[in-house]
Amino acid sequence: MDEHTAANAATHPAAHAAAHGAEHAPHELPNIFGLLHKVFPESPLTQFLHQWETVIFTLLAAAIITLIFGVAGKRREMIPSGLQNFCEALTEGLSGLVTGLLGHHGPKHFPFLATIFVYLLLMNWTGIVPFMKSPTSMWSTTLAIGLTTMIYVQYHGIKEQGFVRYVKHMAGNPQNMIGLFLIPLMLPINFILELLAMPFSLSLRLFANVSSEDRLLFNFAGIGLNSPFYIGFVFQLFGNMLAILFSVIQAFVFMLLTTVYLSLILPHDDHHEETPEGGEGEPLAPGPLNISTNPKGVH
Amino acid sequence: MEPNTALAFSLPIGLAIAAHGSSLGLGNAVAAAMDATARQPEASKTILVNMMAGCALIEACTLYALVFGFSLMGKI
Repeated sequence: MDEHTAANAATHPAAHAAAHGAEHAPHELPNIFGLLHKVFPESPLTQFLHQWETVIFTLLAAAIITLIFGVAGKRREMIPSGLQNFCEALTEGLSGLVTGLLGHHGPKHFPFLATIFVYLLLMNWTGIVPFMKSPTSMWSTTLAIGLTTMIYVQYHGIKEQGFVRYVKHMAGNPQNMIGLFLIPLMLPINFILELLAMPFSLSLRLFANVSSEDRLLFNFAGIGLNSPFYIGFVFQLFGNMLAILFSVIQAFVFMLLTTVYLSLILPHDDHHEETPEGGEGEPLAPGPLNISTNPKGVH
Repeated sequence: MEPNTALAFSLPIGLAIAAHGSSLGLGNAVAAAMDATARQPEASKTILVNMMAGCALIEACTLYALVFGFSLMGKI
């Protein structure tokens, strides 16, 4: 009893101090709301802003995207220039990639995928701007985006191939007796893989990359400040270059993997048409249907 | 051995092992992609995109180790 309380007394302050230290030890560059909270610790406004800083920067990124693409799409000219040109080049490049992977499903899912890319890119890059923080360095943000992606993919999987075929796809498309026996094994595995592992791995990859990037920048800044004549500033420059490059790659990889998941779950029984451009799938499908229901066949 | 000491020793070593494995995997992936590009230079864009997706999956394993390392670092 005595020993127990002693151990409790010994561990509790230590644990508390460790948690406190972990909470307050900075691991990324300070942002404007954190600094405001440090200057005015008592004000409820700065406390509120500091608490919700991730959400505020997320909304800021969304607002910037809306503004840029709204302005670019306002006056559409035949020969684009400036902002419109840039947006069109970006859209066309992404559209070519998505359509190449998804085939004729591409144009339908393109808005979601391109939005994810631009949104994540902007949120990753926010960490490089002084006094700002990248929201994707928190797991809550990336997990939300990963869950959204999972729901989008599964919803379109059910909608486009029908519920029965969706369940059959999840059961591993059983062809013979062995396949039928494996259903109790395949069904949970596929559900765990597609419903749990997919958002988990997508979000954790992005979070780990961006947060370690921010830690890297913070540590390089510390080296730069502590070195004689601030010569360590070179590291900061190098870290910034690395952060710019990796942000693009991570946003791109998130979009690419979402596209791959979509292409795996969408029905792909139309091998007879090899045209990469979409739209031609529709006229072919009603053809045989029309003939079979044609009253001319009865004549 | 104290738990703190054990963690302080094993976290960097564990991360190093994870990084070693994933660097071997990345080396294989990039070598195969280079081979494929040399054989078929016109398909280089597709190969690059596919290689990038694979590389992201491979290096994610190291990053999982990094995340666990950071989360366990608070216990030292």
